[in-house]
Amino acid sequence: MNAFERIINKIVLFVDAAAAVFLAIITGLTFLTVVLRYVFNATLPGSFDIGRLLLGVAIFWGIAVAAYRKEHIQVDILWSVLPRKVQGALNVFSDIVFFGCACVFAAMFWLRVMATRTSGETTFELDVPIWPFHLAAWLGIALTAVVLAVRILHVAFTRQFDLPDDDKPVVSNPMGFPPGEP
Amino acid sequence: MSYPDLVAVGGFALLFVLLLLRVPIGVAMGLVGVGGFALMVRTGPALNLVGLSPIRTATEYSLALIPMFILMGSLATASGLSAELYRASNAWIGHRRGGLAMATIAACGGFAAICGSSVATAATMTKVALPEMKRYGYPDTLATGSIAAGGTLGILIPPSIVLAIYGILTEQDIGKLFIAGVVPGIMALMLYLVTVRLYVMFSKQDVPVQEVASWQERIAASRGVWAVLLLFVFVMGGIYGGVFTPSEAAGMGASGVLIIGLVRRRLNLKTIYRCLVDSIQVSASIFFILIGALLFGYFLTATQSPQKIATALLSLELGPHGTLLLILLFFLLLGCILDAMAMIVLMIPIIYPVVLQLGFDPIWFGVIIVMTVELGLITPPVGMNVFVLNSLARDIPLQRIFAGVMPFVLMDVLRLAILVAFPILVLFLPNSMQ
Repeated sequence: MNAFERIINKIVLFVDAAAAVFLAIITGLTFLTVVLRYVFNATLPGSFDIGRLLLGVAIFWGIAVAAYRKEHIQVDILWSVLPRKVQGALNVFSDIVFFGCACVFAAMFWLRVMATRTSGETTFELDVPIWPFHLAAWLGIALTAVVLAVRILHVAFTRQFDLPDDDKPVVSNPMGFPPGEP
Repeated sequence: MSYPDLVAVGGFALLFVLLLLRVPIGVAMGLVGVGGFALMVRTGPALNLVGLSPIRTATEYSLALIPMFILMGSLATASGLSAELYRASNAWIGHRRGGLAMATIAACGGFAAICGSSVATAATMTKVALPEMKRYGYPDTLATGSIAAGGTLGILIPPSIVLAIYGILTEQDIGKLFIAGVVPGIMALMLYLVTVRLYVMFSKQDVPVQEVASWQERIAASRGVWAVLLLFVFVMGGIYGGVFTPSEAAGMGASGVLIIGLVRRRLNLKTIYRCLVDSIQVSASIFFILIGALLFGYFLTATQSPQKIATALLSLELGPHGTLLLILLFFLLLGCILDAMAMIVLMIPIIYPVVLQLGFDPIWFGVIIVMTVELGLITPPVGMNVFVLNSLARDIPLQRIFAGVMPFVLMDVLRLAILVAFPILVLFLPNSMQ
């Protein structure tokens, strides 16, 4: 792993942790909103807007992490019966298509972020500007494009395909949720 | 062939080629959706969609229920609930012939009430129940079949992530969909228990019997699960009574499991952090295909493909139930190559208008289609639950697990037939909601 890849790895770890914290805040805000409503007959101002905007940031950052860890949902039916070299080639192809789409997405979303900033759009109750949240979400898509570019360049320069040892689905985390599976 | 038809056929062909070439489903659907929309309308509006639609989807508050229900399941798994559920059901019914397999199914049903993932249910119960059944010398087929089939309860018994996705795609009330899954879920559990009973009655293999647990043992074993099961009643009751929205219910459920786990010292900061990370990762990949599916929806609207497919299907004059049978058979076949989530996001936007034109209730159809998709989780060649079981129990061949699952598949088909014949069984609870 070269220095640049190490930096990407550290950024992804930070993004992963931040997205997790955002989810904790969203859950906490939801819990508080309900408790305040039924126990104290009160409301938590801005919880709805802040919750949904943080959700957007967490999801877009999570998309970058999932791209880095190759956890986006794919159809393996053909891939799993192909020789390993062809599997590697297909992985690169899929990364290139994904990278192209992420670049277009990042460009168009950037225009949207700028439009939101110009319009001065704010949240309903607390009057918080929306564009910084959109900008933070945009960073997730930009990171997606960067991690895909790094992976494609890694294969282009080293000629080494990054392939798993076994083509069967594996429970990849201790909680038992395979990537993206319902 | 008209221009819209040409674009539609080309779009579908490209989509399936991209999927086969292992392009992520969200990317493939989004690419075809935006490209097709550009060909039908103009490039400018299509690119504007790319800037607008994904952030609108990701900041939709009603979708926050997906990460929060996933977090609830993840926290429940981490706090060892599966083992406690298994111990409790084992104490109550483990002494019967095939009791350990029955206890596994009952525990799966209990776990499904907290966790909306079939695969997670199967994975966690494999770790808990399989060693026990092996220790007692249960046949591999019965042991693995009961776990793989029991795992499918996760997709149907609320909260169900797949039912929520169906609700989002079809703009149906997710709360009603969850409540509609209750009776079919209980039916599934009961029929699976009957399957185990029939298996031990007709099997030539010996299935050992355990000693009867005393009442003290039963009460002691149930001590660990009552709080979480009460939480399920509270959460689902809240949705049923109109006290919470489904998103609020998800937040209350996740916070409730967290509090119970902390009070019982089953969770620490490290575990909670791991659960949060896992939940957001799984949610992000689900949202990603949802974003792709919604972009694909613009292409479908522009080409009017669903209406044309509806007209073509209705012209076969098979009648409503004949056409429904055709759709379900198509989903069963599709289950041989696609996983549950992929099938729902790909096919629901296309098939849904047909179902509406046939006059079927959309809530009932959601439950029926999720049950059909659920069959794909345990039937070859892409039986995800079976693969997960196999990856955790390498010594049992896939073929033997698939053989063990077959009696449960037959029971699933029977349940499907009953619910198609009597939609009221699905609809009476959601129809009585406030």
